[in-house]
This record gives sequence, structure tokens and C-alpha cells, in this order.
Amino acid sequence: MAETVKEPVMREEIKMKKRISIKETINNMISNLTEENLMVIQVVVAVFIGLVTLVLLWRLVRSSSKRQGVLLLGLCESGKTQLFSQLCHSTDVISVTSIKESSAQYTVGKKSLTVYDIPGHERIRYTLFDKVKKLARGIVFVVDSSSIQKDVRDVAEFLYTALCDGVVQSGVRRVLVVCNKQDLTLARAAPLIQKTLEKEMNLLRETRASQLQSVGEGGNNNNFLGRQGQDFEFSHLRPIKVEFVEAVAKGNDKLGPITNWLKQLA
Amino acid sequence: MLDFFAVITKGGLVLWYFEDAAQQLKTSINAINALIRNVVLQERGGENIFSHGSLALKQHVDNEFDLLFVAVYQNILQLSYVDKFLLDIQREFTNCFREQLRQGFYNERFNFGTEYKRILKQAESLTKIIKAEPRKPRTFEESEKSKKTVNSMIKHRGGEQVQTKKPSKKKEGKSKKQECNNNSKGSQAEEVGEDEDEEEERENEDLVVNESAVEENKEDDVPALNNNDENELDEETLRRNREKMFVKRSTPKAAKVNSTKSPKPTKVKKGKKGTVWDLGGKDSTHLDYSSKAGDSTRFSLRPDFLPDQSQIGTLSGNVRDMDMTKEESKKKTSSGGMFSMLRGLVGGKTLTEADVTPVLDKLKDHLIGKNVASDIAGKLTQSVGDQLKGKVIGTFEGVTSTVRKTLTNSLVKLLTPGRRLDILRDVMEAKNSGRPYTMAFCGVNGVGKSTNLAKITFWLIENNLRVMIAACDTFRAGAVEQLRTHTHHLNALHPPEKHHGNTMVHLFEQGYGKDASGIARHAIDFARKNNFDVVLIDTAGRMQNNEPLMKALAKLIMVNEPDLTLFVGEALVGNEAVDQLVKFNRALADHSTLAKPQKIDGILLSKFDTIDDKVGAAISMTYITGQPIVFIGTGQTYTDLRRLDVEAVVNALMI
Repeated sequence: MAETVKEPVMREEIKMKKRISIKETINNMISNLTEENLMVIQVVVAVFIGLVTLVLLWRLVRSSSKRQGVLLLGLCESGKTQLFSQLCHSTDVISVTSIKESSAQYTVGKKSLTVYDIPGHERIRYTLFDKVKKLARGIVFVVDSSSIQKDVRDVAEFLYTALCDGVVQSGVRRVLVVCNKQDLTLARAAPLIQKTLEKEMNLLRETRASQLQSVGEGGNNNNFLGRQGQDFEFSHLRPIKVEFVEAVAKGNDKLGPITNWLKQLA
Repeated sequence: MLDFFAVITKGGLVLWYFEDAAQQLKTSINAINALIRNVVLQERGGENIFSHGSLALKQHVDNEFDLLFVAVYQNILQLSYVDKFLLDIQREFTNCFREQLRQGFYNERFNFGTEYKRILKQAESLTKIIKAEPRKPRTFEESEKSKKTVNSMIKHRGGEQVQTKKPSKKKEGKSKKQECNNNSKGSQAEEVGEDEDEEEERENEDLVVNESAVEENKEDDVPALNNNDENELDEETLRRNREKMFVKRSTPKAAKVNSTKSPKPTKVKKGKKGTVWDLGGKDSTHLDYSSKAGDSTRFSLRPDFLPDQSQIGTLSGNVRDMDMTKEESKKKTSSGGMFSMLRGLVGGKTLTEADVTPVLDKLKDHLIGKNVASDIAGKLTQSVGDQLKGKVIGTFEGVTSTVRKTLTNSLVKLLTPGRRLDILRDVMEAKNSGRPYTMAFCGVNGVGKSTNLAKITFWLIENNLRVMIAACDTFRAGAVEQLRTHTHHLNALHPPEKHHGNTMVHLFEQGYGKDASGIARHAIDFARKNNFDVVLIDTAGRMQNNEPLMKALAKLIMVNEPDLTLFVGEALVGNEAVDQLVKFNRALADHSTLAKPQKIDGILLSKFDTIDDKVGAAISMTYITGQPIVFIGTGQTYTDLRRLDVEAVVNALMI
């Protein structure tokens, strides 16, 4: 009898203890919160805000490095620096072979593009090209119309390397080939230059595909341009649109096609 | 007297120019273009004057504003003031137009004419004054005689000591000795004082050693000097000369018997003696040096061999592995980078020579450790130093990282080919003109010419081109057989049935001992008649200082005018590469009768698989010739042929 009486008492005690323990723990937690954990919570909140800010910043930076650039490429002495100063500063300059790249803003209406003039010398052109190719929205390739027959292999090699580059294939949609120096007597017309280049690139893609493997780990950057089985044509390079225009870089009058193209690009 | 002067930006714009005579602009621009292509872009900062036709050009680069100052004048005038003049103009120009240059406004008119004329007049008048002064004779300190030791000037003739020093020089000799004493004492004190810097100690030791040696010499001679009196010497020589004259006079036609000369040994003619051979007269029993059967059991110990009992039992079991101590990775740079970052936070820093030199020295040693030839590493680091003098670095860049980046850029520029390298395209071009494309291989002995020739043949026949091999190695035994074996193998890999019945590889040989250039000429004619696309000419290996062989090679190249002259060099070579290439190029240029001799057009770097990351030979070879590396050989099978990857090689160098 005493045991059964004790049991309900004990059960009640146990229940009360439980209730008390729960209450106690909650009270304990609140009291703990107010002393030590407050610091921890502060730190956690600060880190969270910092992360959010970083993510926003990263989004902003990524969007600001959107492609806004136009690259001026071409062989040495083809007239890139002259064209560059005409477009961006509207002046004629006396120029020598460039050693460093130069850049300037070209405004058309409300929008502006950054024009990069890449030196044409064989030793530095590819390193400088690699530096700015991810900022490129369009490429202007300047060709010396009077010496095209002599230089066709070099021109084609540079143009081919520029076009089959991975970054260019993914980002650049428009390429303008400017047949410069039309004021010279031996200058060829744009359609002829286009045909000559197409024939040359046709041969070039075969030899480039059969090139030796490189000694480093990097893979060959020799994509096959155009369509297999058919002769190479620039129209096969969809979605990249390649156009040919004629121009004289000296003087401000013959630059119409180039400015139109830039307007369309911006 | 300067024909033309121009201030040019690195982007190619001519900011300001001055032409002395009319119509200088076009020729000067052409000359400046040639200067830029040859000098500035090829990292050859050392040579100061560049000559283009009849014009000489001198340039100076301003690294702060990225400007180039060029002076053009006639080659025959040797103007001495141009260097200082360039520096003065640079200072004036940057002072006058500092703001515009900093903001990059290159399109304004730069009015610099009056200052230019003023500085030019100053420089010219200064040279006139210097020229007008009569040349003073050198002081004793400047002359070479004061630098010689006394001992070297004593001429000993037949045991007599003839001294030619005057008493005044004796005094100066003594004073110099005193100076030496003081110096050595001073340096000894320094040596004791400084224990930290090892280099300085070593230097001081060397100084002490040298000066003590000089001191000893002087000590030896001072007693000698004291003994002999001047007047006695002169009298003695006078006496001897008089003697000689009398002897000459008295015996006009007699043989000039010199009493001082020892008598010649007279040839005594004996009867003919029979020759004694070393092994003559002995038979096989005498010549048998094998140890007899009975003696083999007992072997003689070396008299000095003491058996070391402690070694017994130590090498039982497997042979232990080598103790690989890991090299200390260059983690120091990260800590240096941290400090330089903090230092750099202060603001944009202008680099001076003192900042840059320690980093450059370390990089030079690093390059030499990677098997770059030592003087080329020196020249490279010097040109990097010139590029960085006066440059302003940004806030978060350290000196070390800037120098490393500049050196990496220079190396990339050096290794990048300066012309289009597409052999297959050139072969097609030659085929269109109806002639075969010829490639000649030259190099020293044993570098891998024949092996790499076979590899290139395999690559060409894989691309459906018919190849003729000209065996112009008519000296080395087995050279022709080696090429014949390769031909058989390659024809077995690409049999004629697969290629419309054409044999893809054909060997043109005329045995041994014939003239190599004649064989090459016949091979090219044969190839042209039988529609072969490529002719590969294998030459004998030759040392670069072997004059007749170099002449023969130059004749082969001059007569046959190959489209590509490949120098085969092994990647293991170190400083020797410089010597080989310089001498090969010089021989090809000197022994050719053409106005524009054909030199080495390309380099084949063989045995590349034997070096891990010590790829410095590539740098040495491209620096010397300026020509690109066309192929890289990485093994001995037909597929071990590669193209150069500039980024990979430079990364391997700079790690």
C-alpha cells in the first residue's frame, strides 16, 4: 500500500520535474543567449551580410566586364595605328611600328565602344591579343591592299588564328576586314581580296590540322573552320559574320563603311 | 649634324620630330621601323648603335611614360655626344610636357623646337671644346706600367739581372708597397670585424691574397733594387755591346758564334743499328699474361688494404633507397610578397637600379640553374633591368613580381617565332612552282641529325608528300646504311600500294668519300625530275672550330640554297650552345660569296625528353640566332616529334 501511494507521488514528482526541467532549460537558454551567444549571433549576422555583399559585387563586376571592345588586328604596316587615330581622335598621325597596345573610347550616339590597337609584329601580337580577346565584341582586321599578293599567306595565317580561337568563337559575332590603302595604285579591290583569302584559308585549314602536337600540355588550337568537303568560304563561318570593305585610313572621307559597321555593332 | 630626331610613343605615334634637311621624314621613318623591329623587339638592348644603310640610329627608352627617343645621323660621322644628348632631351621633354604625357593626350601639338635647338647647341659646343683640348699624356697612375708588378718587368738574360727601373720609380714602388700594406691591414681589420656577410669576407680574402702576393713580389725585388746601382748597370751593358761590335767587325763572314749559346750537340754517325721491337722475338708463351692455374687460388692483397671489420653485415638484405632531400621550395617569395604589398600600399613606387638589381641577380642565377648559357642570362637580365629603370609600379605590386613578370614577357617574346612557321604550306608553295622543297640539317657530332631526319620524313609521308633523302654524310661509317634502314622501314609503313604506286621515300646516295655538295645538287635535280616534293639533306657532324669542314658545309649551303637550313642542337647542351651557333653562323656567312649569305634559318632541339625542366638551351639558341625553334625531338621512335609550345617552356623555366 505504501508503495502504490508512493508511485503516484513519484509520478507526479517526475512530471513536475520534467516540466520544471523544460522550463529550466528554456530559462537557461534565454539566460545563455543574453550573455555569450549574443557575440556568436553578431558574428554570424555579420558574415551573412558580408557574403551577400560579395555576391552582389561579383554580379556587378561580371556584368561590367561585358564585351565592349573592338580589336584592331593586322600585319605590321597595314595602317592600324593610322585608322585608330582617325576613328578615335579624328586626326592624321605620323606613325611608326607600334610596340605596345593602345586603347581609346569611340562614342557613337549614346553608346561607346573601346577600341584596342594591337601591334602587328609577329612576336608580340599573340600575347597582346590573348590579353584583350575576352573583351572583344567585334574584330576589325586591317589588310594592306597593295601588298596582298605577297603577304597573303601571312595575312591568312593571322586571320585564321584569330578566327579559330575559342574565346573569339564564343563571344565575337562580327568581323570586318578592311582593305586599306586603296589610294595606292596597286591596291586590289575587296572582292578580289576576299577570294584570294578564301583560297588561302582553304589550304591553310588542311596544313593546320596536320600540324605536330605541341611539346607542352596545351592542346592544339586548330579548329577546322568552314564545312568539311566544301571549299572554304567566309559565309560558312555562321554565326560569325565576316564583311569586306575598302578604306583609306588617311584623311577623314573614306571611312564611311567602317563607321557604319561600328554603329551597327554598338 | 643630326639628320633627324623623333620622340615616339610605344603605341607608335610620333609626338614630335625635327628634320635637319628636307625630305628626311620618309627615309627616317623607314630606318626607325627597322630599328624597332630589330633591336627593341629582339631584346638586344646591349648594342647601342643600329646602322641601316648609310644611317646610324641611337635610341633611348623612357619607361615612365613609355616613350622612345631616336636620333638618326649619317653613319660616317662618329658623334660622341648622342648618348648624353638623348638623356638631356628626355629630361627636358618630360619636364615640359609632364601633365600631357601622364594623361595620355597625345594629339596636341608639342612645341619643343626651341629647347631642342638649345640643347643641341650645348652638346655640340661641349664636344668642340673637348676636341680642341690637346690630348694630355697619361699620368703615371693611368699608365699600364704602374699596374704591372716589378717582378714581371725584370728581364733575365743568361743569368744576369738587368734592371731598367729608374730611382724615381723606385721611390714610387716603395710608396705603393706602403699603400698595399695599409690596404691589407685595413682589409684584415674589416675581415675580422664582419662575420655576417660571407661574400664580403671572401672578397676581402681575395684582396688580401692578391695584395700579399704583390707585397711579396715587391719585397723580393726591393733588396735586388737596393743592391744594384744604376750606373753600374749601364756600364755593364755598354761593355757587352762593345764586345759584340768588335766580334762582329773582326769576323765579317764567320758564323755568329754567341758565347752565351750552349754548343750544339754534334751528330755522331754510328753504324746502322738493328731496331729492337717491343714484343719482337718473343713467342706466344712469353706473351701469355694470364695467371697460371696454380696461382689462381692465392690472390695477392694490395699492400695498403686494411680490412675494415665494421663494414661486415651492414649491407645485408635489400639495397636501401636513396636519401631524397626535398629541395626547399621557393616559399620565401610569398613572405616577401606580403611585405612588399604592405610597402607598396604607401603609393606608386618608382623603380631604381638598387631596387631591381638584387632581384635580377637572383633571377639570373635561377636561369643559369635551368641551363641557360651564363652570358645570355646576364644579357637578358640586363635588358630587363633597362626596361624597368624609372618605371612606376602600382600600389599592390611588389618589386619581385614586377621583375618576374617583365622577365617572363621577355622570354615569351624571345621564343615566339618572328615569322610564319608552316612547313606544309611552304612545301605546297614550292610544289606549285615546280621545284622540291629542300631542308638541310647541320650540327656537331652526335646530336641526332639522322634520327630527327627520319622522324620528319615520317611526318611528311603521313601528310602524303614524297620525300627524297640525300645522304651527304660521306664520312661517318654506317651513315648511308643507317639512312637506308630508315628508308626501308618508312616504305614498309607507307607502302607504294597505298599511295597510287609511288614510293614515298627514296634514298639518294653515292657511297662514301665523295663531295657532299655535289651529291646534294644531284639529289635535288633527281627529285625535280621525278616529282618528289621534299628533299632532306643529311650532312656529317662537324665540330664548330674545324675550319675545313665548316668551309665544306658553307659551300654545300651556298651551292644548293636550301629553303630551310636547320641547326640540330641537343637540349642537354649548356654554354657550349653559344659557341656552336656563333661559329656555325659565322662560317656560313664568311665562306659564302653571295651578297646576302644564307645563315641558319631554324633550330631543331633534339633529346628534349632527357631534360625535365632545365629547358634553358632553347633560350640560348634562340637568343643567339634570332631564329625560331621549328621542331623538338622527344625520343627515338618515328612519332617523337613535337612543335614548340612557348607558354609551357617559359613556365617550366620560371618555376
